[in-house]
Amino acid sequence: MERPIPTDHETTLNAAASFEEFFEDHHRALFGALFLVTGNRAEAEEIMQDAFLKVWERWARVGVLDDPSAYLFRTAMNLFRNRLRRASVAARRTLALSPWADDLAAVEDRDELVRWLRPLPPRQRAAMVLTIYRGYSSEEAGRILGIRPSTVRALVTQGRSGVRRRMEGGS
Amino acid sequence: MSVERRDFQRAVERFEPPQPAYERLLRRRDRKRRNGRITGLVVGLFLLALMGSALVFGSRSGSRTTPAGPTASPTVRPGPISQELLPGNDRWLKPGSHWLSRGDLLISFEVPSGWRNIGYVAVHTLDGAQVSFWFPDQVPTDPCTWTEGVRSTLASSVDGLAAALGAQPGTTAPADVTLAGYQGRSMQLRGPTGGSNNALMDCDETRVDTRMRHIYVRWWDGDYWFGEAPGQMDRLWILDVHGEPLVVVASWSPDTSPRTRSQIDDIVASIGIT
Repeated sequence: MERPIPTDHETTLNAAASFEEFFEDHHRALFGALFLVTGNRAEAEEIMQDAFLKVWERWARVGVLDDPSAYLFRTAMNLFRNRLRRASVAARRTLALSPWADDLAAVEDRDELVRWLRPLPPRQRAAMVLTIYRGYSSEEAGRILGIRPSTVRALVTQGRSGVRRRMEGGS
Repeated sequence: MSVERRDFQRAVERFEPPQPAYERLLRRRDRKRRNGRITGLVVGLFLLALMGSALVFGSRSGSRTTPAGPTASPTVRPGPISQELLPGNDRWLKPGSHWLSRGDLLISFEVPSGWRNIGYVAVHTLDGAQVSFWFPDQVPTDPCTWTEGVRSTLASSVDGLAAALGAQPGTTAPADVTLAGYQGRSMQLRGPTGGSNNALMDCDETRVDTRMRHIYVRWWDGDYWFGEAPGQMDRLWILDVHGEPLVVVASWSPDTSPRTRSQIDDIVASIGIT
């Protein structure tokens, strides 16, 4: 039996439905990873949304990749990197009256890893999330974060030792 | 002992994104599209103004080739176009008329020199003054325990929001007010004092730059939070704008100079809402 040829409208609807499924499947993991990296709910959600919107714009090409989620995470981490760079340039004192919360503090009591990760700088957290959680090599993580592979390895080593110190210290 | 992938997996699963996540994504997409259209409109208007002034000058210079006599018409100089939509990133603002987009509203106001913007919600100075515009969806029942605190949902109406904030410590009684042609309620908030006798010490912390600070948070709005630093003063206008409470906040700190305080009043008086 022949499949009917979809109209343009139907094609658009199908693409939207497929993207929505992709969003449903991956937004929690991406949000969680970004939350660990940024320590801030609002910032994590904003980066997650921007990453999904960028993927959506290119969905015709990204949707057929073997692993669209890898593209999604890479896009999200690029956005995070750009923000980090901007944040380091602009004086964040401007947020003194409408501060961004360190929301990790709110959940740290419920998860030991969160408690150990929280004091680490965002770059160390990002390097650890990319290499340990997402399984990227130092080279791939370095490309995503815009730093050298050796710097990624150094950040992960520093992060691991920071976590280990806190684990052994019991704090 | 080492941290492994399963530890991350477990931690990541603990974070639930704000819901409904997909609808929030669609709203952000729509907001970006609208901002793009507005930016396009501004650029278009700017180009039109440039073309118009070029035509005016062109015709004037053409007319100068004919004898004009001693009573030639005065020179018309095109004024600088300083009206701009506040960008998402922070920067110094040119003195003059600016506007921002909140929801379906365009809010205009005049700023003097020495003011910056905070994203699309606020303008501020480095001595602790700020004028900001909010559509808060919820306010914390206890402003001191806001990270995990139970949130009130009373922010859906002017009276509801005024009552919720009015019940919190350091708030004056709401009074009727009209601003920019919209009616509403006005009140004043005061953050608990800091210093050695810091009444915020038991409140939740937040991070400002790399520093941890105790903050009195009263509401959230999209990407931004409104919070009070120790000793901060805020005057609120909670306006009924087509059935939704728009909150205009003028804030200052003990460090704010009298000149800047006066500028706050001027900015608020210049607010237009369309």
